[in-house]
Amino acid sequence: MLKQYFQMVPMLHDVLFGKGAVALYDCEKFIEMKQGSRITMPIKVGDIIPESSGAYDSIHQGKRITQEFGAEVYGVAYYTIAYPIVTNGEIIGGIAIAISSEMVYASQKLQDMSHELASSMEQISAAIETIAISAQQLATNGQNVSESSMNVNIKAEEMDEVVRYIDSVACDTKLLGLNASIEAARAGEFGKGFGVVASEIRSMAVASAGSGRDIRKLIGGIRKLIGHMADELDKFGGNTQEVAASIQEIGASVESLTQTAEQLAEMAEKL
Amino acid sequence: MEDLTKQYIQFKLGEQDYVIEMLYVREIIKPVEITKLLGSPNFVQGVTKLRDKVLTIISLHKKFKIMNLVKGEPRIIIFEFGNEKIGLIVDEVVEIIETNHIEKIPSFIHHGIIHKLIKLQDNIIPILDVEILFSNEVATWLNLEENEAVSNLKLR
Repeated sequence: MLKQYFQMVPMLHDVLFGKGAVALYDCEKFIEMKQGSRITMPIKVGDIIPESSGAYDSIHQGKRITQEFGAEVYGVAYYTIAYPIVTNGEIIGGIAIAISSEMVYASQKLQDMSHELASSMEQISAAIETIAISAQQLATNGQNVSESSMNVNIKAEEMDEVVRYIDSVACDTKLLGLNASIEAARAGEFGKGFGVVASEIRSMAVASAGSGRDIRKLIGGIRKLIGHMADELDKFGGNTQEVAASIQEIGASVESLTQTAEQLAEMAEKL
Repeated sequence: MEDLTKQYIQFKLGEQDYVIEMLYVREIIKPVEITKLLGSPNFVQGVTKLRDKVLTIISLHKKFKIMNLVKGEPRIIIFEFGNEKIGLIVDEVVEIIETNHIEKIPSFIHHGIIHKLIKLQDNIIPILDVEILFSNEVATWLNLEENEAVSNLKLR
């Protein structure tokens, strides 16, 4: 009778994907055995059924016995399930499997995990959306700053023109003052008063020239700063583009991850 | 004791500063268009017209082989010479100095046209002697006797 159950052993073994161990036993000993790739039981055909085992209990209690063991024994946590085989009301033996706990938990865990994954993917997608918008904003701002600095440069050039004019006025004033002093000297005594005026004019010229130089220095400083700004903006522009490209890459990755997660969820449900 | 305080105009020929007594100076102008003349001594640049009068322009750069100052503001200092005016091209007019600190130096120094110099707080500037400068060549070329030219200058 039990012989008919022999073919069950390889079948059950396949059902467990070859990972679990399957054993067929009569009321005394194991009569057929197939080890699992994940579980190797220290049992071989002909061994007496140990009294502490689930197999033993299944024969003597006549019911399905499950046991759970930690990883201390075989390096992997495992379950055993033992079924008694009853024929004509009489227990003639049993069949038992030992599978690593991982397989049992796996399908439960998988569904949970795939749901978590799906919701994480949604969050990431939303975050990426936000980043993309920010990056866009950043690029626009950078553009605006670029334009502003160009305008400042134009203003600086206009200021330069004004300074050039100041310089030329200072130059002419100096010449005027010199000639005025010369005339004053020629006029002798009568020219003394005018000589003072001429002196003042020359001082004005010197002061104007000095101011012109100062302004020119300031303009030079502004121009340098603008130059630095332009350099930084260039770098900034380069960085922004890199960021945008990276965001796109991430976006694509997220796409494909989301697809994988969806497939995973589908499979998990079917398990 | 005679008060030796005089007014001088300080200018540059090349890198070097000089002064000249202001009473010899008629006017200072910006560079103008100069018409070259045939047969003139090489230091005479040419002539120009200034308010209906003919002005001979002289360049000491050519005479004494001085390099023009690149960054200068060139001017022409105009001296009155009888009825003729002579303009001297200078690289820059610096300022007017009033002082009485004059010293004599041996005449063999500096082409014989510097006889005196003025002493200021920070520096010493040679005085360009107008009389000697414009005596021979220019006077002859302008058809004037040397004495006449010099005495015209002294009439100030």
